[in-house]
Amino acid sequence: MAVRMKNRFLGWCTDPYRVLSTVLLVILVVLIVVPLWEMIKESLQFSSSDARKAGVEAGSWTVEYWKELFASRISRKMLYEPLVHSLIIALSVSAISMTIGSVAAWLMVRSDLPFKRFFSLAIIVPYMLPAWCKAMAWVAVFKNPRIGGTTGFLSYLGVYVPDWLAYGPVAIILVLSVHNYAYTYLLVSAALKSINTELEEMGEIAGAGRGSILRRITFPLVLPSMLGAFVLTFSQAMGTFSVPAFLGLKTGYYTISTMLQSSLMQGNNGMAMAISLVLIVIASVNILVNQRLIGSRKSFVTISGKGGRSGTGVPLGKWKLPITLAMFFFIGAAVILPLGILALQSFMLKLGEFGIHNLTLHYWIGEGEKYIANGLPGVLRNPDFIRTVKNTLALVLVTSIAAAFCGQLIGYVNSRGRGRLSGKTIDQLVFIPYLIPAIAFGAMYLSMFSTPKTFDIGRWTVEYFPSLYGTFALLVLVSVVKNLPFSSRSGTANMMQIGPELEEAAGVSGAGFVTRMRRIILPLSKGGFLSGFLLIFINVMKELDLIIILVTPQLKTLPYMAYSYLTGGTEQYSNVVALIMFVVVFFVYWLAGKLSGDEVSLNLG
Amino acid sequence: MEMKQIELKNVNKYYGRNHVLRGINLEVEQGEFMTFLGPSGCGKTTTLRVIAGLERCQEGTVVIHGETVADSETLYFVPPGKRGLNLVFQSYALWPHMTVYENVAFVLQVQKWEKSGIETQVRKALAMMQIEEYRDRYPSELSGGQQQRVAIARAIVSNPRVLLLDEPLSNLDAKLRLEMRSELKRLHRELGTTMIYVTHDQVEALTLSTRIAVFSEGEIVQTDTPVEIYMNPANVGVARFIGNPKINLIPAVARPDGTRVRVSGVLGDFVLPWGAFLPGEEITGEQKCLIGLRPEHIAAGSPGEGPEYSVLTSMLAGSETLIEAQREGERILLKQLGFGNLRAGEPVYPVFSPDHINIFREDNGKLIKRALA
Repeated sequence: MAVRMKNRFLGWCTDPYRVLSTVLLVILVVLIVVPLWEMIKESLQFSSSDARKAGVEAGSWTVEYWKELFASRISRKMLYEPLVHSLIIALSVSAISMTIGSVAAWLMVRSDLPFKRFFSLAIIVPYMLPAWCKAMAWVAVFKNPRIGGTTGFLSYLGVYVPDWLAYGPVAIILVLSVHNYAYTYLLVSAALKSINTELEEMGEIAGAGRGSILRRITFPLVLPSMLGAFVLTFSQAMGTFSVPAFLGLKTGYYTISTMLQSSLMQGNNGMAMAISLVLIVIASVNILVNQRLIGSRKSFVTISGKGGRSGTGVPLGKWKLPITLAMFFFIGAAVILPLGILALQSFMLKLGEFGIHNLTLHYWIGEGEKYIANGLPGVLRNPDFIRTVKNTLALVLVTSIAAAFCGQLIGYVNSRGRGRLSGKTIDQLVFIPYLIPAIAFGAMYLSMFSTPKTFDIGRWTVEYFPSLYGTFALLVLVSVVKNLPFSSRSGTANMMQIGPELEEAAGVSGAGFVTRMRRIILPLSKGGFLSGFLLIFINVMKELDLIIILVTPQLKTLPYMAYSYLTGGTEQYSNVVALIMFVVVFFVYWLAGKLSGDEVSLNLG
Repeated sequence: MEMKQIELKNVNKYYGRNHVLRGINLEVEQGEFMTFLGPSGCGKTTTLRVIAGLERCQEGTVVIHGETVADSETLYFVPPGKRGLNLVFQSYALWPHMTVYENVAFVLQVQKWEKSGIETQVRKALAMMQIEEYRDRYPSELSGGQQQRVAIARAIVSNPRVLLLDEPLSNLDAKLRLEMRSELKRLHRELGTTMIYVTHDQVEALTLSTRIAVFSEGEIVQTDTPVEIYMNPANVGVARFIGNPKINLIPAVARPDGTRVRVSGVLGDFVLPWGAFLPGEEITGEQKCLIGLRPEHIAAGSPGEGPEYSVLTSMLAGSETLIEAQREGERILLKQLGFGNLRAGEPVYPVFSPDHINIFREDNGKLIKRALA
């Protein structure tokens, strides 16, 4: 009996799958479940200052923050109004992006649209440009004199820009839609590519017309991925901070995420955590509803045959010219215009004056002049900028490599652990950061790591987590964990393609787990690793919402630098930084495409 | 006179610079079971898709049931749904979001049938394929064989004049393949529909078809009945492709010998009458050639009856034994009924009747002497 127990234990310890999944499980619980719990706790405990006011001990349990948020004089301003704003924005953005993204995907994958090579690159550029850069471009065009300060391009030309267009919900919705359609585009075009064209040809043979085939065959087949895109867009838009901050705060238009940030800034942490939890609950409900919707349908895995035989695609006929023109117009408005404006502004000595005499290289390479921005030198001459670039690159590289590697490991456990409880649990856990809007996620980590976490065993106090606030490690950690849903998806997809028998064959030849990983699995997953790496790289490079409440001046990143220039009123510096950032992202994307010999797909699904 | 159901005239198709169909000419009679046979990439599926209307040919015409459905001269192409045909894909292409019933009913709905009419017609088709009990299942809940039946039911429900089948059995396991093969034969008998069947499996082609069109590199090299194709392949390529075990192709030289023709080589000397050769291919001088001889037409004779070969392997295949033997570096395969008792290294003396042999020219591979049945 004892031998039996001992052998069972030994067998357990030497099964690499078990060990790996256990280790992963523990790490994920610590990095995801514990912070979530800390957050809940913080919303239910008096902070030290509030405790003093209330005359109780710090850390006593209370529902005061929740009561204040939901049922008090300030609830309307603090919660309900911003919530309605956020919901309007999120729903509109999702609807618009889903329409634009799906139509674009169909045109690119299935139709005979000309200039596909150009469009396929241009159409994902908005995804490489952070949303707040587009907000800056928007302001540059539409800013009107009402707000004060310099005016935008249209006002300069003497065109009257009404307030509702310059700032507020319309501006926010349009800017976010132009940013977020890329998710739908990528997901739906991947789905369209995976659908065997024979399914549509069969409709043709049955005598169904183009419209009928689209409606009855193609559309139902891509519907699951459209709903998936909806979930993604909705939670992104719901939690997005920077765009509503740029385009809403000046006119007092709050969303739930800007409200969250301002509560934090005022040191009202309990309240901020409660708001974050509301955000998380909304995102979860949204996902649950959608899973119901998708789950009630079959998930459509089709035998992928040869497909795509008829190379030219569905002829657009007389619509070809108008559609092509519309595409060019869209690309112009969504891609070229924002970039052009950013570039133009970076050369303008004084904003709002559009003339040749006003052009300068000062903000790029000028030496400090005391009349301009208190003597701040051009970005490329600023030692602070060089430090920030180094810091950003370090963060991005470390994060992307770590996240892509973790993604492969999780993918390995997921693909080998299909149907096992541990595999399923890990799959679910990894999904949680996806639910939590970026700004709430940052808040969660702030709550977790601002003070050392301890627990008491008798007389000893054990510190199980140090305070990481203000360290590089915290930024890496938060970025890696927030991006796990993406990297593990790409890792799982990658590992699924590596049949277990390849590994078993090595096992039979006597290779141990580490050797199998090193010699078989990792070399085979190189391509997947690269595309996972790339995705995270681009995500982290432009990330602002996630780290905005965690970053300290010594550790700032390029987006944060651009953001602080902007809020400091020196937009031109901000534009320069944003452009440099875009160039880096674009270059990495291009390089990865070259290296892998193929256009790397930014696989989100 | 029988009606021509399908006529292809000088059909050419290019993908960019790639010339994939090179002047296809073909006539299919009503009620025929015509098979397109050939290795992958030879243009047989493309031809099928041109007939279906899924591809447009750049040259040539397609006529179905007396009506021109594709004319590349005038750029006139009738859409697939209006050609009165239906298709079974290799992948089945069952719509995964529809139940079996919905899949089968789709074509009738598109053709605007009445509801009650659809119900009876679908039930008939499901009954024909013996899958009534699965009518409310989704394709993903069916086995491969059942999916195959649904795909066929969907293709026959609208009573098409022509049924096209693109390698329909290649995704099935061996046992199911046999079952579906006889199922298809039954279907052809009961429906009387003209069928065009694409396959790379010569056994399927030989067992199912009334006629076979053999494809090679975008051309039809031979169109004939299965027996003819087996007995008298039009060239060395077809000879090599058809038959399992493979045909023996043995080099020899033919030269005129008085009023007859003498053929000599490893297999020994034999003479053939002058008229044994096809018109226009008479032997006037020395001609290098290949002798095509099916293994079942060679017997093991007693010493002296044939040239002496040495046995390499003797392979029992159940009811018969395959013997591989060698002489002067040339190998030969012969098939003996029952259990052979020859061992490796022992001598064997192959005998055959000159009536059974094919002779091909060595230079262009063309058949110049037919086998007599």
